Order: sequence, then C-alpha cells, then structure tokens
Amino acid sequence: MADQNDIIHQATRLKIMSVLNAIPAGEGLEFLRLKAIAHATDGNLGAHLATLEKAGYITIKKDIVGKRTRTRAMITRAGRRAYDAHLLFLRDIIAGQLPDET
Amino acid sequence: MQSTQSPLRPEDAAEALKTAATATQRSVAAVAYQRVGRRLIVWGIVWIIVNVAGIVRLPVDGTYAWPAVNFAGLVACIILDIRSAPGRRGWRHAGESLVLFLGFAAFVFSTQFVVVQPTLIQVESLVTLVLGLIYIVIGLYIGWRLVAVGAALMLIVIAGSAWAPGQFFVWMAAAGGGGLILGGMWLRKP
Repeated sequence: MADQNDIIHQATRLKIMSVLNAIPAGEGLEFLRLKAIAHATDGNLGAHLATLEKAGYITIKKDIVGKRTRTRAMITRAGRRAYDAHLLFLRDIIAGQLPDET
Repeated sequence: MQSTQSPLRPEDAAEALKTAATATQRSVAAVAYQRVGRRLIVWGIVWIIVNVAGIVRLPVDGTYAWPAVNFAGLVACIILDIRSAPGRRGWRHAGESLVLFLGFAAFVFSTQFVVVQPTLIQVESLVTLVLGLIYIVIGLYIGWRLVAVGAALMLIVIAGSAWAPGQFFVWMAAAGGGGLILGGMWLRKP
C-alpha cells in the first residue's frame, strides 16, 4: 500500500495539487486564479507553493505580460506521481487497508 | 514521503478525498471558463458588428456582413486558441473552434429546409437559443457560471423578439453582443 505523503496531505497543499493536477500537462495556472480556487491568502499560498516547489512537485514560472509580472504554477511529473500515490493511499484507508504501523 | 504522523482514520481520508475532488472540479471549471470566456468575447464583438450592419443595412441589407464577419471571428478564435496552449493542445483547441463553427454554419444552412425562407432575425434568434441551450447543458457538467450565461443568452433573444421586434438588431447588438462580452469577461474573472 502507498504511504501517506505529509507534504501533499496538508489541506491547502492538497487543494493546490488537486487544482494543478487537473490542468493539462505543460500548462500552468496563474497565481491569482490559484488563490481564488484554493481559497488561500497571498502569504499562505506563497508559503505552500514554496514547500511544494522545494519537494519538486511543482515549478513556478514568472514572465512579464504587458507591464505586470505573471506568476504561474505548474505541476511536475514527480508531482503528479506523488499526488496519484497519495490519493491511492487515501482510498486504501477507506477500503480498510490500514497502514502498517511497524 | 513517509508520514511522521499517526495513521489516518477512514473519515479523515474520506474528507481529504472530498477536498481533492472539489478542488479538481473547480480547476476543471476554471480552465473551461477561460476557454469559453475567450471565445465569448470574440463572438460578442462579431455580434455587435453584424447587428450594426443589420441596422445600417450594409452591405446589401446587412446579410453579406454575416459570412464575412463570422469568418473573421473564426480566424480570431483560431489564432487565440493556438496561442493559448503550447504545442498540439493549442491546435486541438483551434480544431474545436473550427468544428463548432462548422456545426453552427451547418445548422444555419439546415434551417432553410425546415423554415421557408427564414428571415435574418429568425435565424439569429434560433442560433442564439441553441447556443444558450448548449451552454446550459455544458454548464450542468462544468460549472454554474456557464448555466447563467446560457440562460441569459436565451432570455436576451426572447426579450428582443417579444418586446423589441422592430429594434431587434439594435437590441442584439447592445444586449446580445454586449452581453456576450460581459459574460466572457465574467467567466475569465478568477
């Protein structure tokens, strides 16, 4: 059975990963839109994105559009794998396959 | 990553899966809103132009403006679609725009076999009602904002036909075209 992933399991990060996992590969989601969907504040979202980026689950890209900087988050392959594994872990728990506590 | 916390209870796991499913659904809706919103803004501009052409009855009673401006709208949509996503996905979005356009063109053409010599107003009303219905149906699966846009479109054309038949083109340029642009901007809002 898969292991619990504490980085992804935190509520806001789980929302962020779920949102980004639903975005087609190669496409990112703007910071403002991600903030609205995840119901997070600027600081809160920034901290969680940094944690996910450090784990290699997402990448953050910044570019200039007109006169403003656009920040986009994009899930990595490792991020998709970790997310899928964590969801599998959650389903296993519900199915009654409790994790080995040894 | 291995957990350092106590094992999860099934209720907590179920709650987490529910959170993930809700966030996924919101993400799917946001992506669809972006794509549909972009197209609505383009077709709102198209509607304003073709209905103004209908008001000033140029060229040739305004009828010739329809194919030309609609084709320009299709080209604009295809360019925006290609630029919206990298690689093949952008082209696939452009393909969707082309199929949608051809579908509506075929629908407009087919009305001639059902309605004897339909007027421009009848064709525009039918197309708008069908478009509204499509948005409502898609919205039931994607998100409520699309349902609202579809219902608003249907109400606009019904109101125009019922209360402003003599000023139909003015109504459709202002409420229809303007409504599409506002609806598109609303969909694209985070």
